[in-house]
Amino acid sequence: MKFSSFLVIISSLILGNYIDSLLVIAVNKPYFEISFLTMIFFYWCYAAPQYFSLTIIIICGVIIDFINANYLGANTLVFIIYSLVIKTYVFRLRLFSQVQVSLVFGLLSSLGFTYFYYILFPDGYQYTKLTFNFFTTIILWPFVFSACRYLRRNFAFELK
Amino acid sequence: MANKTPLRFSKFLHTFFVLIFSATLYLDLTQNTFSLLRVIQNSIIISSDLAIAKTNSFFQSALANKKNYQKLVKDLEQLNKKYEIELAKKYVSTKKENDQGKGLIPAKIVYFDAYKYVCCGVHEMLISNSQNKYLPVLNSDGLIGQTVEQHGNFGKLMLLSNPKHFLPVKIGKNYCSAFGKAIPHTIFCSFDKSNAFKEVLVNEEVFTSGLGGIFPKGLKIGKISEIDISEKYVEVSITLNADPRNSPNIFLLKNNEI
Repeated sequence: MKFSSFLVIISSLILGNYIDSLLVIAVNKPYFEISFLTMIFFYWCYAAPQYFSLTIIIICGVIIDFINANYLGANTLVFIIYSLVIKTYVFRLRLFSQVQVSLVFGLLSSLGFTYFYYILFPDGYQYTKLTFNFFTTIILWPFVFSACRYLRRNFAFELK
Repeated sequence: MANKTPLRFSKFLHTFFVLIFSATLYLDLTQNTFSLLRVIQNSIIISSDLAIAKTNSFFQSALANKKNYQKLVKDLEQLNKKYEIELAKKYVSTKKENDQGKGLIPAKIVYFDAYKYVCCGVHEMLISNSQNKYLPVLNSDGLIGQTVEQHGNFGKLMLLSNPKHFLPVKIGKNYCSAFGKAIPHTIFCSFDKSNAFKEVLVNEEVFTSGLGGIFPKGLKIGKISEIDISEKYVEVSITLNADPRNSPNIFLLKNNEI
């Protein structure tokens, strides 16, 4: 894998993280929780699993932890678990329709959300947030998928 | 169709790193082992903010008429500071007219994560004054929290909406200890529906009761925005007057001066 491809992946994740925080601050509602970061991560695991290696996942996780001033391993741990699940079923998932894939990723995102809030920020955990996160992931996944695919085809690498 | 994926990746390595990072996370959560990383991150943000502000002001002053620009900026800063301190004094003076703003110590917010404030229930911030603990803190709109501990060269401020924070308040003839639920700009009061409970109304003003010894009596906190009545309890939501995101200028209130 080329270094430029790695840069595209990490930049897209950082951009996703930035958009998440910008939106949360701008909307300023207690139920609002959106995770572009998770969806972009899902995309790279789903579309380019052979290039998105464990080393890259760990590096990305640690960088995101550092940027967000989170406990070390908070994002990294959930990224590795996502990667394990998606890589195990990636070729089956590709047979699914977009709606089915959206549902699977919505569920995965909600599980990650629950882990993240329940362990790290129990004060911020709310069921309305969880539901909002689940539905926004389902609705936004096709758009994130298209945007990331465009990015991969034009700037990162072709899937062989 | 194949039942197993032909993709080559090591499940063992994934599991191994899950265990490693679980241990790391556990150590960091319980013993703050990697807190240095967060301190570095905070200091990078503070320094980069400062560097950006300095660079910005350098280029702006180079472009504009330097003297006029700097004079105007200085005037504006002074006016803004005066205006905010006047507002804070006015707020404090609701307690005692003759002591207007006597016990106000000016300080600045140096680090505040607005994202975690909204999303994750982190209702704390770092302020420039590290010397004074357990003092009420206000901005130009009203009370926002209290100083709790020293954090490096800075002081840590716990906001009123923090779930660990309790504020003794008075609503009409009722007394209660208001607490946060990590919802921005809002605190809550719970009353037992006993004989001592007097009716409260939406939009009724809420004041500090002076009990507890930290917050002086009679400061206006906010208004009742919602009343939730159950069989045994009444829970009141109070929307605070002051939003900690409004201004970087804050004031510590010396209790004994008011």
